[in-house]
Amino acid sequence: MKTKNTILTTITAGVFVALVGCGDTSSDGGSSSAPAGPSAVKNSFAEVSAKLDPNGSLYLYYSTEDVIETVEEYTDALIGFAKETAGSGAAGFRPGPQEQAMIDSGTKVGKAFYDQLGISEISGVGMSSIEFEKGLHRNKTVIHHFPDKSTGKLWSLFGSEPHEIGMLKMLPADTALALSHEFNAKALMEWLPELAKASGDEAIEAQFDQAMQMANMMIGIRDLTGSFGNQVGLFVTLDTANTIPLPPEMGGEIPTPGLGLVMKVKDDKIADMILIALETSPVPFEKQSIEGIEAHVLTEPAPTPFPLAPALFKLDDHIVAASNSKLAAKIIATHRGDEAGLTSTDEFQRLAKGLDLKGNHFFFVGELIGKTVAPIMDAAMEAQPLPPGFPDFDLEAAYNMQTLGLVRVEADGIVFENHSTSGLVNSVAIQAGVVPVAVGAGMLLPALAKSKTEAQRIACHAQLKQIDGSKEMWATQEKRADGDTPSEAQVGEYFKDGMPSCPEGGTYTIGAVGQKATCSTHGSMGQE
Amino acid sequence: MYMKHYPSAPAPFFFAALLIFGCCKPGVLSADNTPKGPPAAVQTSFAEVMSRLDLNGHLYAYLSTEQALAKLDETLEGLISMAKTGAEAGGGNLMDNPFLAPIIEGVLGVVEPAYRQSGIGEISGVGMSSLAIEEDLWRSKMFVHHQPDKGTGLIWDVFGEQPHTMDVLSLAPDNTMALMHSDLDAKRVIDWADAMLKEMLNGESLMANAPDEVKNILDSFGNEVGFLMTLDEENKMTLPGFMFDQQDDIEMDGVAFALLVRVKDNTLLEMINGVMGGGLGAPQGTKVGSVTIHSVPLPIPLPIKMDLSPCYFQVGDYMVLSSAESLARRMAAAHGGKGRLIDDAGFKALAKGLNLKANGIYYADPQASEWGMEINELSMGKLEGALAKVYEIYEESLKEGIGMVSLFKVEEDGLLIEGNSTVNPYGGNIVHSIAGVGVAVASSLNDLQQSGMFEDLGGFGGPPGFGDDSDFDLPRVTPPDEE
Repeated sequence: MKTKNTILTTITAGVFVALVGCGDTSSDGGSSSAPAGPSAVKNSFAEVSAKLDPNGSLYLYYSTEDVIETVEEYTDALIGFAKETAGSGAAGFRPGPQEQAMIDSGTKVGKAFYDQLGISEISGVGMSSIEFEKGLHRNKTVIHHFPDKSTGKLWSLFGSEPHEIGMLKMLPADTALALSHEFNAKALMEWLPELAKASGDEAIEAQFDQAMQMANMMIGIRDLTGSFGNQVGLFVTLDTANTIPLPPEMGGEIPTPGLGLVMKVKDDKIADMILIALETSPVPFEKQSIEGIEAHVLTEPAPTPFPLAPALFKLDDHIVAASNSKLAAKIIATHRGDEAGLTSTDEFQRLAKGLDLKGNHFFFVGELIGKTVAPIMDAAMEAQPLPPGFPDFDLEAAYNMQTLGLVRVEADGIVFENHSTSGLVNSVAIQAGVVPVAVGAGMLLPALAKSKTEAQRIACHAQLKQIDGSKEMWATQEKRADGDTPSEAQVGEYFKDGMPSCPEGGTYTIGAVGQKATCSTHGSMGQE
Repeated sequence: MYMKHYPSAPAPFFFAALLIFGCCKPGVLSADNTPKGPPAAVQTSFAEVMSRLDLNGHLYAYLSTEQALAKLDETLEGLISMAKTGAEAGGGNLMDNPFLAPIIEGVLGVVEPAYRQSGIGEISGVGMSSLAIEEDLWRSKMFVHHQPDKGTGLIWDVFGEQPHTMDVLSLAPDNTMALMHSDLDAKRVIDWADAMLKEMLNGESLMANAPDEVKNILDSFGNEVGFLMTLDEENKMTLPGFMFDQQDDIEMDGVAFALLVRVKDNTLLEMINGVMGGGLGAPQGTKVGSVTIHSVPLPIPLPIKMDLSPCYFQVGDYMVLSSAESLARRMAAAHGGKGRLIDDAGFKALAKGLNLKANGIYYADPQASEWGMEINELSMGKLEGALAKVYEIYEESLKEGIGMVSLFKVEEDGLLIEGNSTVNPYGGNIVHSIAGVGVAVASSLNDLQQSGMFEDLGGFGGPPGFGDDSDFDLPRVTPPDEE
């Protein structure tokens, strides 16, 4: 009986659910439309979205094939229109036969450049941005092409497949900014003649060949590009233990900066060429051993506010230039593992969490950059404050942005990925709004500082003039002669708020009647 | 006792399991309709938005707007504060200026509440998708989301409360080429606008002093308004050739328009009858089925041959003002179930898979774009040279006509716009549209150049006296006083 009841209950429940719960709401009760399945027109959604992160603040896939094709169609027609307009003289000038030929050749080269670059092979683009950890965003941008459409130079000029970033092993722990890029110079050298040929003008082709031969003869350009290891990098260190003062009008101090340049090479050709150049140069370089590595060091430091006596040396398959020997020693020690480098810092490890450090291009911006720039920017803002209520452009977030990113050239496209304290949308907003404000303020800073100082000098001299006038009046009223000196209180009688003081903190010497009053900072009237 | 309950235990489990696993059809507004991945540390409306969109298409996008709108809010506050504390060129405060202060106060009194009450600040995220459900049929969607606890703004309810059957589709005849119809809570809009104006008019409400007729109309208004256009190939119209620089007159399919307003009663009809009858009662009407069509006499005859016979009538819950009696008859017939757009095979094919319950609809028949193209070509005249090549590409893209059914739906947590179209609206079509505008602008400049209106300024063809060529190689027109 119980079993019977159970079966009955179960069947009843099932029928009820089937009738009520499983009804197709889209056809009667609700308003949602029938679900759609796969796309009837091929696209790269699956391929691109597989590389993106859902659930974040930005997610985008956009198929570009149709758009690019349509744009190309119109571009061809518009180029024809432009040529026709130029040829008719409607644009304000009528080109001669030579100019017309140049326009034709230029158009052909431009077209060949575009066609061979591989833009038309892009099947789709994707973007995503997710705050994967509180305050830390993973931003991705994908440019996809199908593997069977990969003849474009875009897919090979900037690297062929991701690899370890060699420069990373050399970066000292106080690295604040680092960039490493890959560029296939040899492929470019092979492409350029093709482009010249595309002009269809034998003269241009011949001129190009001649220029190449010349470059080859003078600097051995073919050998050099063959020797170049396709990777170059730059980094900036900031030594917080040693600071340098900022100009007095700004005040404060910043960590001592250091600069490193790195180039990967396949052999000694480039290094030898640099050495010959150094040996024949009038700048005094000498061979020194830094951490057991032979280096060429500038013996007379440049007159800069920070130590600049470049040291040039070879480290494995890299040529390295450091702004001074101390930095060179740090680089070598880091590379050997004797000293903890950037990759061992908490900041780097936090940013690198879950990020594959293999890539073709690499960039890092550390907290130190913000900490160093912020006081300078604050000084600029203080000198020229924004009106009250002026919208906050999130300058603080912009200064303190920390980013670790890589660009990977993969078999089916290019992936830009970074871990940053700022999301992609915010980064764009910062670049579009904050950076121009910051750069503008930075450019204005010296002028503002100068104008402030100048204004203070003018105000001070005006007060000195008034003090001299007061002394004359005092002498007349008190029947005093030249050489007599009034007290501050006596001079102050002639001013509404008593004896004035220098706006920049200088000390006034009233001086005798007949002599000029002076300021310890700004001198006397007539003195600059 | 314990055993007594044991045997019936599987039933509720089975019931629950069916509800959880058995009832969700693939892709139906479930979390399964979104790409998978680890959750974000900071919650966004990604899942809510993307579950309304179609995966696998040519466009699939989501943008969280909360941060950006918070910034906008901050910026707005900053700008208001700047306006209130800002200094004049002379040094005084703007708010101390007896002329400027009331203007600033009035504008700020409107701008800030208008923004706050609009609901724009409540948008948490937006999403878009476009998917080819067939080779020539694209489903596009856009969803604007608000969190359930933030949906009090105007935009969330002014265009309706929840999707419903679009009764207007039963009135639209099968030769409808374009239809735009939407819910509109007029009272809500007027109350909102009145509240804004009150701020500007020192607390004076316009609606409080409005005449009774206005209030009666609003009370009678059924919160739906729309427009439709038909093309009638059996009832051609003839346009004079001289209008388009052509010798022969041009014959095209006849066009007719209708304005539709949903009403709760016949107040509006009686008011119009009163006006049209000049106080002598309703004018005589023609009975078509259950519908009485009232003609509106034309004051002057038309210079072109077309069916222009304005009339008005009430059909079902709709008050209609039509440009032609032939259209009115077709609408009356559609109301009776004959020749309806909704039964048309072309419409059905275009609306495939769409649930037509909505708050608004936009429909364009592929023939409408062809007709528009014909008019376009006539008005633009003959293009020559490379510009003609550009135009040819544009023309080719519209050759087969663009058809579209788009529905606007007010849902509990946001606004959904979904529709089908014969082209991908976010693909190459965007480029064609831009090119179309470009060609139209270039063509207009050409016409201006030819008109000679700018001869004194040197025309568009470079400095005065430079050659005799105008842009695009078109002949230069000499102004009459130079002849």
